Amino acid sequence: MESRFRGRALKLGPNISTEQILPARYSTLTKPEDLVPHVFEGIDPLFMSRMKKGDIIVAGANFGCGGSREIAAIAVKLSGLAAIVAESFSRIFYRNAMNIAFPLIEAAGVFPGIAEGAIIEVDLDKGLVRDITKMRNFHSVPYPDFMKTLMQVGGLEEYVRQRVKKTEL
Amino acid sequence: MTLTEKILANGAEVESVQAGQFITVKPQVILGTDLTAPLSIGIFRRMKATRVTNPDQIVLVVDHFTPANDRRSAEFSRFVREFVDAQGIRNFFDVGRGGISHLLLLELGLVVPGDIVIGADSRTCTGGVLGAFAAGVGSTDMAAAWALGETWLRVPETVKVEYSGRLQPWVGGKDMILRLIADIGADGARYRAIEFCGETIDTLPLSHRTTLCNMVVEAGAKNGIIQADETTLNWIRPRAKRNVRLFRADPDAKYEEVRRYDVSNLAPQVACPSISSNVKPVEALGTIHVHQVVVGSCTNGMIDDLRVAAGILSGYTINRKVRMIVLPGTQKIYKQALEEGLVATFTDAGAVVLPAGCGPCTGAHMGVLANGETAVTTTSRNFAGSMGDPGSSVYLANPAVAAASALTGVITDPRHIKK
Repeated sequence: MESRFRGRALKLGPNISTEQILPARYSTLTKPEDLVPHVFEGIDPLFMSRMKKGDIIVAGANFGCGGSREIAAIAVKLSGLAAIVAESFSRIFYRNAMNIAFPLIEAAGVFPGIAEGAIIEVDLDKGLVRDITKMRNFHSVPYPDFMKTLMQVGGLEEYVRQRVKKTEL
Repeated sequence: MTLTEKILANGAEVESVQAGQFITVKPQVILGTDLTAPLSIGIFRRMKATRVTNPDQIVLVVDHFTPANDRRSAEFSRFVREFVDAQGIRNFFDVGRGGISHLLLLELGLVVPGDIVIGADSRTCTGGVLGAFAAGVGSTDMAAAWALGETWLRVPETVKVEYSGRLQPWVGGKDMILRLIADIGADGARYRAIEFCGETIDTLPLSHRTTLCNMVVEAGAKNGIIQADETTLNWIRPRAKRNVRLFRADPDAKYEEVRRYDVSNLAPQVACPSISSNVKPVEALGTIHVHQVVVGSCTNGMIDDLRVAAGILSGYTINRKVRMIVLPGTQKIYKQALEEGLVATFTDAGAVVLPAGCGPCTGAHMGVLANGETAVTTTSRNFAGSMGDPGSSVYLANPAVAAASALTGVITDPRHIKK
C-alpha cells in the first residue's frame, strides 16, 4: 500500500454508525459488486453516485460506532475510498479496518478544518494529513508498531497465513 | 493493576501489564454468531488454516436470523453448521437450542470469573458481568483466533464508576447506564474499560448488572466489568464448566478517571433518537406517541426483566395503536416465563412473544419499523435505522417504562400506572 496519497475530501458527520455505513439488511451479501452500491446508504442514499475512486472520507468523532460487523469496513474498502480521516474512531471499527489494512487516520481538527471537496494528502508514516487547498497540516498519532506491521503485511489475514505456513513447515 | 489489567496480565502470562501495551492472549471463549461467523469461515479458509487450534474455545450461536428469514440468511446458518461439524465444535447452539449468545454464555456457565472472552459481536462485553474480561472484535479477529488459538489486545485504560444509594422502584441497571452514557457521551469511554463498583452494585441483582455491562459499548468502551462477589458466585456455582479465578483490583490501581454516582434520586431514563447519549428523565419527555414496544433482548431479556414488564401489564390490555413484542433472552428464560404465567399475561394483554434471539434489534428480522414509526424498546441501540427504516425513531428505556408505554400508547412514567 502507498504510504502517501492524495484524494478529494468527502465529509460525513460525527457518530457515523455501522448501520449508516452498511445497513444490516445487506450484511448477508457476499459479492463485492452487490455490497458496494450500498456503502453509506444509511446516511446518504446517493453517496456512491457522488463518490470517486481515491476519495477520502473526512468525519467527526466516533466514526464507526455501533455493531461490530466487519462487513461495514470491508464494504468501505471495496468501494474504492482511499482512507478515512476523522476526529476519532470507534474501537471495533478501528480494529476491523487495521485488520484488513484499510487506513484510518485519527487527527484532531480535521472535521471543522477541512472543507467538502478539498484536496487532501495523507502521509501514513509521518502521521500527517495535509489540506492542499488551504495548505494546512493536521497531525495524528502514528500507528503503534503492531498496527504498522499489520498494515505492512496487508492485514491480519495475511499475517496469520504466514504464521500458519510456518507451523506447517 | 485494575481488575481488567489483572485478568489481561494473567492471560498474557506476565507479571504485570499497563494501559496502552499490546499483548497476546489465549481467550477461554471465542464467540461467534450466524451474522459474523460466515465471514470468518471464509477468511479462515483464505488464511490456509485447516483445523481450529482448540474447538473447545469456540462457541457458535445462531441468534441473529433465527429461524432464518430468507434464503441468504438460511445459507449463512448452513455455512456455520457445516463448519461446526467439520471442526468438531461442541458448543454450538442452533435454532430452538439456545437464544441470544451473550445471555446464553452466562446461563450455561460458559463464561466464568477471570476468563478472557472475545466475540465477533459488539455486545460481547456483556460477559464482564461475571468478572471476566469480555470484548467485541471483528470477523478477521475471530478467524485468526480460531486458527492460532490467540488474539492481540491493547490493554485499555480503566474508568472506575462507583455507585452509592438505594434505587427507587422501577429504576435499575438500564437507567444507571443510560445516565452514565449521557454524562460521558457516546464516545466517552472509547478504548477504555469501565469497572463498576460501590454499595449499589453490591446489592444489585445479576440481571441489572448484566444490563450495565451489556451497554458499555454504547459509551465506546472496550469492556465493562464487575468484580465477582457472592451474587456472581451464587450464579456461577451450579453452572460453571471450568475453574473460577477470582481477581481483584489492587488498592493502588491506576484509574484514568473515577466517577461517583448517588442513585437515590435517579428517575427512569430514556435515550431519545438517534444516539444513546441523548438521554432525558422520563418525566421530561413530553408526549411521544409510540407504534411499537419491545421488551427483551440481550440488554433486558432476563427473567427479572420479563417479570417487571408482565407485572405492569397484568390485568390490562395494551393500547390498540401499539404493537408489543416480547423477546426472551434464551429458550430457558422463555420456558420459565411460560411456567410463571408471564407468557399468558403478555398474550392476554395483546403482545406477541418471539423466539429467543436478536429479533428486531438489528432491524433485519421480525418487528422492523416503517418510515415515520416510533418505538420504545429495552434494547441497546437507537441509531437512525437501527430497527428498520432510517426514517423511524427509537427510544431506549427500561422494561417498566416500555411496558407502561404499551398500555398508554405514549412514552409513560411507570410510576403513573395504577396497580
